[in-house]
Amino acid sequence: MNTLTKISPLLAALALLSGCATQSPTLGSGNVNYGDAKAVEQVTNEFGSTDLQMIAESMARSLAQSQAGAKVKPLVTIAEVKNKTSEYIDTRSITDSIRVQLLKSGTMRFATDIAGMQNQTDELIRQNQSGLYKKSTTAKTGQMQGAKYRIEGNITSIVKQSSSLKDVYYKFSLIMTDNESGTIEWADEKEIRKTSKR
Amino acid sequence: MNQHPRHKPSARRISVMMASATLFLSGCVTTGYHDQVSGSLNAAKSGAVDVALSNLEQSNPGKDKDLLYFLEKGELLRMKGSYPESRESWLQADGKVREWEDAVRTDPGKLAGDIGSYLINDTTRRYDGRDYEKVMLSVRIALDHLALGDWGAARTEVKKMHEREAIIADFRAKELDNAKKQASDKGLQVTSYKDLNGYPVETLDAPEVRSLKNAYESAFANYLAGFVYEALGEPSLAAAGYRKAIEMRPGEKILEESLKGLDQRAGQVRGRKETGVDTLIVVESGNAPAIRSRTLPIPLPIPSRGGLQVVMTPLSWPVVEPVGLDGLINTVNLDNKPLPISLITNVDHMARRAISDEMPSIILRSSIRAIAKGAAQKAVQDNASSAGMFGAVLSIGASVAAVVSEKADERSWRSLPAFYSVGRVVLTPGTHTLTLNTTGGTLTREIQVSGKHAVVVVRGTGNSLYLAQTPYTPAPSPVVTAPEPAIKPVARKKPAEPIKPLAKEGTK
Repeated sequence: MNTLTKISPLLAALALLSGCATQSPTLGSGNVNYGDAKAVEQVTNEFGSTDLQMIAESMARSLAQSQAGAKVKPLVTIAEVKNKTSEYIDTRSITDSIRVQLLKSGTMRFATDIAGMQNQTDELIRQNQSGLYKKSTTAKTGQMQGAKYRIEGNITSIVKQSSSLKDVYYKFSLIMTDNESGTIEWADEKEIRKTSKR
Repeated sequence: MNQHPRHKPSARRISVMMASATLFLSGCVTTGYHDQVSGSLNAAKSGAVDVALSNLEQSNPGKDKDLLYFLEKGELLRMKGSYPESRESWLQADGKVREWEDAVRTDPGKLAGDIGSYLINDTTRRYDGRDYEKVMLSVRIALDHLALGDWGAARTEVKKMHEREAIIADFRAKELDNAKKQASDKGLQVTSYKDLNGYPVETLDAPEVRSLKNAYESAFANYLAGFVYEALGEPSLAAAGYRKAIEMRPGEKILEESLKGLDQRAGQVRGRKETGVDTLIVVESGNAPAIRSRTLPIPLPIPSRGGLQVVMTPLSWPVVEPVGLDGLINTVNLDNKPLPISLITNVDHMARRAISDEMPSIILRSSIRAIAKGAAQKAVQDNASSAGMFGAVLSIGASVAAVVSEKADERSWRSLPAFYSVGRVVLTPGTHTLTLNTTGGTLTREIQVSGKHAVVVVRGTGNSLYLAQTPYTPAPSPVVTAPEPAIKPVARKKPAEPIKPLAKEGTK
């Protein structure tokens, strides 16, 4: 009993401290909520996150299937996906998602694309020309690998609108071309139709 | 009457209170916004920007500054060349617009039915900016970012602009539905400016106004967005900007060629071909139009002893004073050779379209207000006869106050340029001469461009010409930059290898 009386403040302090350690702090008024990034978004019928995810998943799956049974992972580069709509659609974001999914599945390897080339060459030059790095650790110039294939495509849309109805049709087309032979080795497209009423 | 001796003073008290309230509220009528800002505008036109800024401060002595103060101040500071301060002022204005956006997202109905404007007039409403002003604010901030050389921040602002346009579109659709429903519920006969007898319908019904898709999207904003995206190596987004600009101004060669040559230019940039500086020259001129209050009577169902009576009631309406093309700069020479430029955005048309789009809600608010005032006036007049001379004075006072307190909202961003023309040319890096025919005569400015992309903005107002341009770097900075060592290395036997330019490395 006596011992219990002595250690009880210690236990209480421990309980309090453990409480401090496990409770995550909550800041703000609580008006902000986290949602599911993969949840279907139907706020407007403009191009949205669900469209991006649907296109990326569909294309990545199709590309992965085209390489089923291949013994060597092909080295691929992503060229431009042209936006032929009147909407501000970040097509690079779509190709980024496709590349992530293909890399995760281990289907393909990717060479630096055009958008990343500036940073790639800048880094090589920095390592080789600044005089700041050990020669033995620097990445050598002239060792970059050329991609066997390039992926490119476009997104188009047809918009029809009446006083009470808006219909938007998107078509995302992608092709993979053999850089040496110039032959198209794979092609696929994803269509999306969205209709909204006023 | 003798049977209810207490009723008389009570009714008189009510009428005194109502009339006093009306008279008191009429005291809230503000002086015209143009009188307030004209001193600043005139000073800016004569090149005295510091005087213009000082006038603006004098006109806004209070501690709590409103949206218009920050909008006008940002523009004057930009003319002065104080881009960080201009940007700061506009970011303060942007904060106020974002408050409005948050309100639209959470409770659009509250904005549509602002209590203050139902009681007195629209000038009592917090000024949230007209639709085109909200979007143009993003454009102006983007231009300030460019003048400071921050292309990334300009891109952020451009993207914010697209999101803002979507919010405005959603709000206007809801507001229009609300106005139609309420007008129908209250049995209002007049719901369109076309039904207002004496209203200058032609200002809002002009083909150039009706042909606009809406009051806030502009070819210039989209073209600038396209140029920023292109400069940042995002041709897919640039294409959308150019395409939207073409949709708004079909047939403009400069816009069409920008889209047509996009792939080729992107290829040249990727291939690091030295092609010169792709320079966007923006020529801004004139000032956004003034909006004036005009009083016109409309038939309204006013409560009376015999029920509702249709009474012709004088109400105030906003009228846009169209801007003439006198101030438009359309002749530009670059290095003594004519530079083709195209007028792609006219804020005068956008302002008129904005008023046209706002009119159903303005008519609704004014009508509800007038009906309420009519009922109050009637109460005063009913009791005035029993109050003798004092009652007669009150009755007249209430009638006068009802008219005086009626004033349309004249507030608008007046220092905003009215006309936006663009020209595009590839220049050799260095100094060039720009000559413009303005209302103040032929004026020349030296411009300096460097890098792969540059933006040069000349603003003509009155006799003055103000220049803003992306920062100039005399020699193209080498691709490789080694950080300067903070401390000198001690007794190095062998000096560090000199930095070689990229071209030499490539020949290895």
